[in-house]
Amino acid sequence: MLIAVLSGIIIAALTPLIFRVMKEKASLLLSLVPVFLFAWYLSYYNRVANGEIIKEVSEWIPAMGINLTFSMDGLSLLFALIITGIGSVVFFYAAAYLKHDKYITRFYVYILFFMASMLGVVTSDNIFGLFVFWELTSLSSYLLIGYYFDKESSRKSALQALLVTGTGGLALLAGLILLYIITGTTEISEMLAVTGISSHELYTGAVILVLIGAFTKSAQFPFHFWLPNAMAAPSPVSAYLHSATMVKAGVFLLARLNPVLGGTEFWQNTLLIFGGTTMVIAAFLALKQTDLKKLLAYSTVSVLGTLTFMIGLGTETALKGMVIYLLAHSLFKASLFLIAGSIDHETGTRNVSQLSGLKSFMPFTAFVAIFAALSKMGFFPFYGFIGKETLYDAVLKSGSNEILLFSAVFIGGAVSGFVAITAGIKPFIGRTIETPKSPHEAPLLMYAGPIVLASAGFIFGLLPESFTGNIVEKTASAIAGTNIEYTIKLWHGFNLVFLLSVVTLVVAYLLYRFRTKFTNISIASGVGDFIKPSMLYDKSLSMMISLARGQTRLLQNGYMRYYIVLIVSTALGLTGYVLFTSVDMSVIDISFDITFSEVVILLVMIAASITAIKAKRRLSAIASLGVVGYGVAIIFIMYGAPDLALTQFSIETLTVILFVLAIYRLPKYLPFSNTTLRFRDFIIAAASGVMMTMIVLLVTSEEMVSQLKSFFAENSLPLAKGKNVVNVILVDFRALDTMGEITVLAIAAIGVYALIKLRMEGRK
Amino acid sequence: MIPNLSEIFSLTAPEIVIAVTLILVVLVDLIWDKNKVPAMFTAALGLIVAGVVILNGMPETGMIPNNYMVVSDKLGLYFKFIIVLTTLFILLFTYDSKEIIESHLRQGEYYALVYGMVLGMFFLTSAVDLILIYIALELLSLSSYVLAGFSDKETRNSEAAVKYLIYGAISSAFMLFGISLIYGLTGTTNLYGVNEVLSTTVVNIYTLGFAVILIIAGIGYKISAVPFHFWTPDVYEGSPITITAYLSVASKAAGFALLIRFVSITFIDHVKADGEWILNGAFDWQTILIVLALLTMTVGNLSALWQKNIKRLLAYSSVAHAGYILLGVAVLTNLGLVSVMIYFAVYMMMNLGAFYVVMLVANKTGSEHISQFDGIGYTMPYAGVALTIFLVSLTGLPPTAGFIGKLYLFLALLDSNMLMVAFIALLNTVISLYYYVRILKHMYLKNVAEMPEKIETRGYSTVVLSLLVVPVLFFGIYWTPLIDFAKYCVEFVIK
Repeated sequence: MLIAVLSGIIIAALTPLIFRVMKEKASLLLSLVPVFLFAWYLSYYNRVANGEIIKEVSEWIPAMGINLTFSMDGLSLLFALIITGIGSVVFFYAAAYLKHDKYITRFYVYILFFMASMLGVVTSDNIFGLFVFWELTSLSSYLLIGYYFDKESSRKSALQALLVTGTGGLALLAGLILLYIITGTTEISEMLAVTGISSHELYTGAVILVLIGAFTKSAQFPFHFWLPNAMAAPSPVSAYLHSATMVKAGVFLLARLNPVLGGTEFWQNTLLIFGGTTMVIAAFLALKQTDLKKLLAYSTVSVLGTLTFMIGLGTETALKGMVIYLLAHSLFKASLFLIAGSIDHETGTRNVSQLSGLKSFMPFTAFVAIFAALSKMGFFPFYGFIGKETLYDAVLKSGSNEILLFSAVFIGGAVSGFVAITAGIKPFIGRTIETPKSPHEAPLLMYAGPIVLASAGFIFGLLPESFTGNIVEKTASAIAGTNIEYTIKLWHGFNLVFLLSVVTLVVAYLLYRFRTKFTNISIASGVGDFIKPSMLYDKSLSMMISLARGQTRLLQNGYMRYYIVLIVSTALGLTGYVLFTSVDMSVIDISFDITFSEVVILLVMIAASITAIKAKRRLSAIASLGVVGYGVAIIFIMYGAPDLALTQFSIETLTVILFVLAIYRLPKYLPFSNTTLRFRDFIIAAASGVMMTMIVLLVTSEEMVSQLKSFFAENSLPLAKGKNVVNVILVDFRALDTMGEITVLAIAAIGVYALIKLRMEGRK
Repeated sequence: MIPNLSEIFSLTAPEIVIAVTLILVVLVDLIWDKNKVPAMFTAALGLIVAGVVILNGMPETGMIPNNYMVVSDKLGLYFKFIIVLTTLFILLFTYDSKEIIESHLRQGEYYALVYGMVLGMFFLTSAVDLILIYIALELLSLSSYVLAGFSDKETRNSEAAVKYLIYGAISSAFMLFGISLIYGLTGTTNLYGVNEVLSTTVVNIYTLGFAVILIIAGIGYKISAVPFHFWTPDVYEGSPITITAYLSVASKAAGFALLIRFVSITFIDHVKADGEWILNGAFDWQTILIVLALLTMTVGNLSALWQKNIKRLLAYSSVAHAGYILLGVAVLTNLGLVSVMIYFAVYMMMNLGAFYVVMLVANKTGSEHISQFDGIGYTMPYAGVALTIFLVSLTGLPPTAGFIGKLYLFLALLDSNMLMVAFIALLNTVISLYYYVRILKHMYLKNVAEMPEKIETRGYSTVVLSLLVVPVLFFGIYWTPLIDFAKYCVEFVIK
């Protein structure tokens, strides 16, 4: 199974080369890849149908106990077959649809890459492996939605889809890590054996995060808005990613993790509520669409809601119904999307109201479309009929709130029928309307595939048990986590469910017949206006950007002085808070003696500081600062540290001289700040002065412990044979520091040399 | 008490190699004063020797030092190895950098100064004495100030250098004050000694706290943690790209090594069997590091959001990444430390790669404005694909190495039950996705009038780029070697 995934990625990488060699034929050759993979997966059919779970382990990260495990049970195989099967149709279709497109190479690279990742998602047994492939599908979807990159709307939709699914993906990652922490294993098959997951304290968190991941991917309310916008992609992409496969990855994940996380009221009810809400809201929104693809997109969202809803329902019948409905939907919705693409391709419009009577121009396409639409409506004897019957059956037997649940499902079903009539039948019957392009029949490649899909929907419907019985049974068992025995039958007799099916069809027709009225009602009711999570998305996006802008303007305005003010005040705030809330100030001993000479020196230093601030010229400011430094040095002398004082004197002198040299080159002094700013600076400066004083007082009130002084005094002669303690410290005890200091000086010298050279180069 | 000379040599072997090469580089530059290739080769050779010495020294570490100023342990060697790799890449970049090559005659000093930085960083990763730490920091900073202003083409260059200098001076003054307070409290500058005093006697908690905050300010400046990051965007934008890339990776690595060592040696009581660090309670490290980390990543990401200059954008993104790495430290477990080490290795590759592509584009177009990247995906296909991979990796999405970094980080966070923190980090990743994708959009999805002409990329650049792209992809798919190496290196000398 690893080989199947890898082959897709490798061929994707080779695609540009293949196109260079084969030119136009390349697309046909590449279309054989999914066909081949389909056959390959089909070869597993018998083993899986007999209940075998095929596993393939290759060592990946033994350190973490992560192996690249692939497993194939009914659920995986069903998805793999859908992915490769519909993939085959879509690849061939695209060969004709994009024939004259200059970026066709890129299309095949992306879509092969996508197919391989999608196969990885459905066959990975390892949660991290699954996640890796999951994100790859989001990424390839981004590139495919943005395929027509010269359109602004394409780019915007692509980004929107990526942000929504990407955010969900990250939530999913967190959820999967939690799952790993709860169960201690990364293999889904091993998680099944772990008990007590639902009573773990992290369970709720894990479920919420996993659900966010699944809901964003499968466009569940309130994340549904990205899917209709993703219709900016070419039609084959919409058919493949945004109806048949990628959007179902979320549903797949729910199904896959259902036996691990499911069974609790929280899990089931959340799925039921969100699935049901999505189903109904998307149905309402579908009513007012006139764009063929958007119409189908909203209907897809509604179906995805239904699938989630059914996993939430969780009964045996519901899970079986879910599997049948999923397969049926993949078949008919992919056909309808491809047909919408053909119509667009041949007539130049996708506006439903401009399309009518095309059957005389496009007889084959019309035939397929009507076939697919009938299956979608749930007409006897199509596969969609069985799906809808099982669904109704499951809801009626659910045991609680049947009426509420059924009305939700009924709305979904009726609107689905309405969409089928509008998108699949209406464009082909009735009188002819003029379209932007004069219509022709689409090329063979563009209707051959849909014919296969639509007839599959018909044949599966006639002989459901012999074609799909086993796989449906095994898939439903995998979702439930227990063995489900079931026989699919087309005909259950004239019962309540059948009656309701018929009523649904009638309502669907009525909806179509009076569609303008319903569209008006839908618009007037404002369902679409006040439930608009996309607004939330736009709002939060623009809020994020303006927040970003505001905070950058505030914090990073480019002025050095401003940054320093900010840092100093942060430090002040933090220490000040601690100092005044929790320190006992009474420990500070301020009862020290002060001599007259000290007072004089201090007064001189204060006066010099004030002069430095008030000075109008740089030179006088610096000279005053020098005076402050000299004052400090004199205090050192008075406290018996002449060597320190000497150092201070020389440093001060040197600094002043260097400053003067630098000032010589500076432009004239300009006062930058006004009075208010100066007042602010004054407050900050005064506060930091007070704070420093407090801290120094606090520190000096402590007993200082120093082992070093006595150590050096005692050991410098016996150990280092030196009488001058300072010298011994410098060259012996702390020789490494001294060497470091010398290196610093050397580097500084090299730096200065480089700068002088720079200056000389500048003169030349 | 008097250390054995051969022991000292074995403790500081990599540093000695670097110091000797530094002198050689200066000499070689003096001998061949017109041709700068020998100096470069000497520099590269010295680094390779240092790398070999480091790898050789790994198995023999773990000596418990007795009042030495440096220790030699696998943690330090790991970071040294990252610094060596980064420096080698920077030398490779330099050979391709228009900005530096144009300053032909001054190239010798360029290599010498880079070596000065390396020496400072090496000492930072292994120093356990506050004074040596300070000197190493100065060595590193002084060299980087000059390098930041190395090119004379634009005024923003000198502005960057001056801002860096002033900011650096203030931070190092902060740090020095903190160091002197700690000395005053404990009577020693050796970190082990400080630990001993802190665990046996009661010191004034507020003074200690203040001292620690001051030292954090110094370290925070090196790793550009908020609110000590203000210099970062200006300096990153103004410096030559090679130096920007270098500052964003190597300098940060040294800062983080220092932070980890400072926290773990000074404040640790013992390490539990499951790898949790028990600190001696003198200072609530976890809270302050978490707050710092969250602030850093949020401010970094939000500021990156609307930047138009790619260098500036990457500067903010590197601030954000410092935030993620800080979170790994804040967990205060061995798992957290492993995640930091993995993240760093990954960050090195992807960040260097991103800067290299920016440099290649800037070499052709003379600007780093985001509009210069319009259609780069088609005009420079390989560079475009490479940058895409680096950006995806920076976001932390599979199948790139960046994903592994994030995965281990989140694992460490969730393993310590820090759900809320992980959630904020996650939100941050979403924000970062937005601005990284914006670059992608410019490269691939922007209107390009007609099929533009391809811009030739030198074979040399392609090879260097591959050296970074291949591991980013390789470790994204098969990350065992990386994890094993990091786990092997989580050994640090405490007491």
